Amino acid sequence: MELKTTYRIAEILSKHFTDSLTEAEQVELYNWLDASENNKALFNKFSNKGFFEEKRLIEASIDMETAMLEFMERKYHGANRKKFFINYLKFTAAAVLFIVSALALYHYNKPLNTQQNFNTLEDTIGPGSKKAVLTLANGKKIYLNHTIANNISNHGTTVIKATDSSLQYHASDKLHVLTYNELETPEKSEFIITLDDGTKVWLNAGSKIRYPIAFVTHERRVELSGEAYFEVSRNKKKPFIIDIGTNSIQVLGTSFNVNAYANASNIYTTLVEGSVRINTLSQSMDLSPNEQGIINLKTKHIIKNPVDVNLYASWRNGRFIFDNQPLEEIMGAISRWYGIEVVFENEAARNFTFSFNVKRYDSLNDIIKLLEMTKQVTFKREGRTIYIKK
Amino acid sequence: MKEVKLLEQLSLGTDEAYKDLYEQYYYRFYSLAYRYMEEKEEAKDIVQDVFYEFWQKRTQFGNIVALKSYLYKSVQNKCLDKLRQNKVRDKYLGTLKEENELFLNQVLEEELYQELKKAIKKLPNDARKIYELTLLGHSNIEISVLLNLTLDAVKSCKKRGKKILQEKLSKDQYLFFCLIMCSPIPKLYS
Repeated sequence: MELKTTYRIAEILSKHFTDSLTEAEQVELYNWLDASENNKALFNKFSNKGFFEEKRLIEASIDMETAMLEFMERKYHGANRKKFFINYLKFTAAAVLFIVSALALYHYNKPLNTQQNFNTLEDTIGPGSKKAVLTLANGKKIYLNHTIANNISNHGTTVIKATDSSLQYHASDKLHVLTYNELETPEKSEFIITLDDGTKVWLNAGSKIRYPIAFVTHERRVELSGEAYFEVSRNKKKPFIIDIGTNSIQVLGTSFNVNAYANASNIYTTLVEGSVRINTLSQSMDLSPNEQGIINLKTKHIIKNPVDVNLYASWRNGRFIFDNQPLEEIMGAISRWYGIEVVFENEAARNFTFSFNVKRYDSLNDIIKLLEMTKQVTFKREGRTIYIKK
Repeated sequence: MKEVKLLEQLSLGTDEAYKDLYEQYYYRFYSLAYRYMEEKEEAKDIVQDVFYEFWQKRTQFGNIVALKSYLYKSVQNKCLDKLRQNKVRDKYLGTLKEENELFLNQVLEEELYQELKKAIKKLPNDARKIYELTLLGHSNIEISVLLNLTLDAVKSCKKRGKKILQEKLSKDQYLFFCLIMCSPIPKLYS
């Protein structure tokens, strides 16, 4: 029996079980049954009352949706994604183990009660700085910070490090294939990059962008995780698309902020000027200036709200501006910028809202003092961990 | 999505088409892989790899039946490779001929299940319920109780259903029927 025959037999059997065989098909069925013992055994199995129900129960128990979402992820980001992720997990597990042992040793030797109140703190926690890690197409990593300033040649393209805080790409004409670079800002860092088409991207702490060194195809497509502010140069013929997992933001020429940290439950797109379209697998939504689109990563639904865009774009001008935002969100942004861990000992405090406007390059202590002045929360510090109490 | 359109959209690579592919085809291939591997994660990984390989050569298929066969065979090959790697092949699989029979038996089971689902979907409401219950192993009497119908009503409804299916499934009318009756696939996130 070959596959095509198998499909035909399935069709005939199905008709048999739904009483809709023609006479000719009846003969076909008998011939098939006569052909082998195997066929008769199969027929008995299928005639068994439990057959259909069992198949149906198993089908209902299978998580097809997760498989499909994983596939979409792979479709957009390549085959090694999963393996890479597993390796990453292994590495992380090893690192965590190391840190845990180090902490255990530290705790064993430390004097009692090193928790300090912020107001009596001697050493201060400094802010982040302009630095990033650039990964070239050949996998080579280059650490960018103010101590180096040189030109990096890359596949016939010159990458010019224009200032101590930004990268600029100029492609030569020779390029015909997409060649990707990746720029990553670890925590406590930010960086500015100008892509080959003139689009300028401010990358906030703990973020990553993957982009072609020259946009040689009919569209300009980049991948983002974390937070970035985009000033996309106008080019009607080549739409600019930002992929974030299975979601995307489509741009004509415009300025906007995207906040899409991997551990968050939403992706926020805040439009300053121009127009963008947000896409999930099942929905699309256009934004106008001064609107914020929110993708709920669980439900994949998009909603939009009018907002004060200055709040969301302030970080790239060196400020932290919050307006009635929950402490959990505020501490998220702060922890990435100052490289600290935050522990909420008082769960309710997560939802306390605060408004303030400070310089990003001030020390953490200044911000903490400000928050403590409200008398709503107190902070304690142990090493690089901040505990939030009543 | 109808088969011709599905194939076209798959080769274009639209997300919508791959959603459909998963909704309509994932189960049968997973089920086959599971029969070989007897382990959920392994079965899933194999189907994911096969679908991904298909995505990379998505433009090479002339019709949906060819694609279906390619996917079945890829799943089979990947499972056998994996079992060989795990050195348990001999335990599970006899000769090549026996292996092929096992493979086709499983394919028949999957295809039959899908055909049955497709067939009852085409019936009008009352007849569909009756046939679903029949397939779940209920007798006419039980069905009449469950659906609060008289026994005669069940019987005559089955007769009508039978006629509908016969007419609708007879080969030359099949396509015409598909054109009229195929309901759109429900959206996943709507």
